[in-house]
Amino acid sequence: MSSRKKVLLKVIILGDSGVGKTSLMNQYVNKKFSASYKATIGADFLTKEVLVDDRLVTMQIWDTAGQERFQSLGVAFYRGADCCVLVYDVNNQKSFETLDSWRDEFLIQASPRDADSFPFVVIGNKIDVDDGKRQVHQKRAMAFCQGKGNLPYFETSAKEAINVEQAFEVIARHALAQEEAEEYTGDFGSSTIVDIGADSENDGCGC
Amino acid sequence: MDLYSKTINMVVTPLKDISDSVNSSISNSAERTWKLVKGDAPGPSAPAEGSSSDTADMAIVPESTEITPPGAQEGVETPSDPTLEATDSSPTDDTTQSEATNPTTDVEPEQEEDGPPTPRANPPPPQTSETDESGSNPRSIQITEDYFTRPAHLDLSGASTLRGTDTGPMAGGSCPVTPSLERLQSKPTTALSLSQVHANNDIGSSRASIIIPYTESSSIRSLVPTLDSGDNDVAGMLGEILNEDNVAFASGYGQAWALSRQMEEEEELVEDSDEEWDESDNEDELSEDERIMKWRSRKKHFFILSSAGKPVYSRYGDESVVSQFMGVIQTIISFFQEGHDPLKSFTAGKHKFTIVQEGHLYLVAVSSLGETDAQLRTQLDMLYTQVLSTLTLTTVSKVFSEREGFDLRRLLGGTEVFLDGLSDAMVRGEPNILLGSLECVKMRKHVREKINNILLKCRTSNLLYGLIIADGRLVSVIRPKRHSLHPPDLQLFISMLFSASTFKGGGEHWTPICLPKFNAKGFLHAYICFFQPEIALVLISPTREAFFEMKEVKDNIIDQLDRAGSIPIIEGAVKRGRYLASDLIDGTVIQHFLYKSKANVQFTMPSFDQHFSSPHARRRLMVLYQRLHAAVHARNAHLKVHHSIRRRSVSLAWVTPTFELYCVAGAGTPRNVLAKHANSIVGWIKREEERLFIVGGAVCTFD
Repeated sequence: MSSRKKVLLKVIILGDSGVGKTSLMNQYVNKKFSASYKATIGADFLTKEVLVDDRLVTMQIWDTAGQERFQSLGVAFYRGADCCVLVYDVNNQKSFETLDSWRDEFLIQASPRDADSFPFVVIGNKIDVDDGKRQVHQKRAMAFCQGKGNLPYFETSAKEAINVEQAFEVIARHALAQEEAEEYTGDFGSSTIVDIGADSENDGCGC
Repeated sequence: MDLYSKTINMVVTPLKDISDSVNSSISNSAERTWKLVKGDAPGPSAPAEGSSSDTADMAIVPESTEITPPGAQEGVETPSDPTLEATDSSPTDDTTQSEATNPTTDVEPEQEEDGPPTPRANPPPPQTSETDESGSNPRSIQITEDYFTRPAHLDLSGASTLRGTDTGPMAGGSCPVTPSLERLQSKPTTALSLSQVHANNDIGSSRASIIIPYTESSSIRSLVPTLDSGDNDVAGMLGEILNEDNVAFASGYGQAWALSRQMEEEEELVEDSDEEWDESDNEDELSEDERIMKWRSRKKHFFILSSAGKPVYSRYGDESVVSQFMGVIQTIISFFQEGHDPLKSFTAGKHKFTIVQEGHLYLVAVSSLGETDAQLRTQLDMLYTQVLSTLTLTTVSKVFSEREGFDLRRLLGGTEVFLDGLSDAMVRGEPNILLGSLECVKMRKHVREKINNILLKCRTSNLLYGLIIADGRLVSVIRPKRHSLHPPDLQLFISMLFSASTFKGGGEHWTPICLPKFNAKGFLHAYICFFQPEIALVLISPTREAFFEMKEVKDNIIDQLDRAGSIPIIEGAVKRGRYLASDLIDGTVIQHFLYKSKANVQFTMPSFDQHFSSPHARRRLMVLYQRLHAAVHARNAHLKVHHSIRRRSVSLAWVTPTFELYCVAGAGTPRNVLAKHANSIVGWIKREEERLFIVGGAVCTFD
């Protein structure tokens, strides 16, 4: 069964408004960066094909709006995701502090079967901004990830394309692992055989 | 025999079936609908008091009664020669006439009240932007109403003149929203507030986004295409609004008339443009942009997606083209779920989006071919049934309850050909799907009985159903007394056998198959063997291990059919093809017809040859049938006879408790001639019933 064609992975990007979710996605998919900020309204969708260990997979990336007023999209968005990416801005303390609530929100809305093993990837974005402005230090972020069950952590710059590729590669890998974790065994066993009972007696014909 | 008073009812109601009435005619009158009303007193004016629903319910068409009432024809002036009628005067005539003289018009407004469509059934066309097709300025966004709009280079000249028809009074009609204001106002935020759904092509990778505005200003009033511009806020005034709308319609009729001409031209344009019907799949040679453009230019799309927004099936377009769109669709659908008021359909530009939700599967049809919601729903149900027949409901429910994000394509892999076959049939238009019934090979009664008896004689205890199917049509069916075979299951089966090459070619096949209308929860097993190029023997057993038993049954059956000389007869019937309409009546005006026998859930039709041999002409014919079918099947339609005059054809739909007849004649055919010939056809079919249909007998029929 698994010999079939490529898998589609649903990846959700969450995080506060302005941390660079859309920029990360654009950098990854289109290799482009725009300095002008344009808030995402509702959600955007992008698709990219990638090779993960010689397997071709399609990432369906769901980029959400960070602004609170769009949160009502809720369940619709999170439902059936294979990986959730939490993004914060290393120069913005508050965006880091809200990561936990983004994670909780996702777990509540998406209610994955095994919340503890559901793959999250944490990204600290905007490391291109000069060091003086940095508010969240790597150690602190790493400690946070550790505490949540060893979440993979990346520091990126969507602007300068630093680490973006690598982060998404790990995202794809985790999503694929999640997707395959509970792969349907294809058991079309006897449980699905119709029992028509003793109805099919031979004298049915009236012609 | 009772006395039947006959009235002629001009259809003036804008809401009921606007697409048909608008397209009905270019230069003369509107649709003419005859209704035979059974009344105690004769005369057209008699049923005036009881003209509401009572009368409508009583309206029946007596079998074998002439449908052309000579008296009634005099009562209401009807232009017999379309070309003589002045274009702009006749609509007004029709309107006033029917309002003044026809008692049954009362039925029409009421009908709207009876069944107001779901308020959000037709949300406003999401404004859609489209990439600049020239590609010179990918950043610029062009706002059009129609996401699936035709790319410029495919456009035929003249189509552009139709822009703006949406703003006319016809738009209200073609998008029959009768919003229950009360409901809408109580939940303003759940009204579709997609002010913009825009797609934006940046270099190669396409991108779609969805925008949910939150501002208070985007209230329902501005979003729902209200039929009425007045300030009636009170839900209780709905009836009045509708009435006003009728008046508005009447006054706007002149304008509508001009539009109707345009629309028919457009329709013909659409039907004439063969290139747009291009169903080729050679997409490999195209660039990404061209692929997306081609994808958008399709007249009809079918999508199946999971509730997580993962694509399950799309007739056209590869994953990269389709998957963002699936995300957008999923979001729109989900947006309405939270209010427990599921989105059923909406219209954007010329396209109707119809959505069926079955558990964790969403099925979406997007069509610009003018089908009704109900017709599209039937088609989506066929696709859903096909998915179930591969997987069973048990499996589908199980995988999604375990994991919402399950990629169902993994389990469906390899059966897309069957979904493609079905989709193509539904894009092309097939009478069996339209009528929800099956077609049989016409043969003598005793010949069919002989074949039935052979099947029965060879039957073993593990055989549930036995079928012989030739050229997509039934020859013989046997079934156990207590189990019926459901037409959708059989249609599916026939489509699988004949639309894909999987089973053809002589070999033996043993396949698990779920017949969902029989039992969606489990598999049966089918032994399939094409013992002649176009003739299949199908033996369905509940037992997985019954292959060798079925093989033996088959050998016996073939042996006995051979000895009885039945095989050449079936072959001959297939080779001869269907009869011609002119075989029934010498020099008939009727070019083609569909006759559905309701009791047998079967239909018969003549060959498409002669008048509709080209695929193109056939498609146009099927679109016409689809519209006739829609007119007599509209919700609460009390129409029994529907007569439609178009530039190229005159057609008639006639519905009785026992049959449905749709027939098409050349342009300019007088109504009484058409009616006379329709009657002759019905008479002929009644005489030939046992040859045309599989009738009678506990085992050989469908329940």
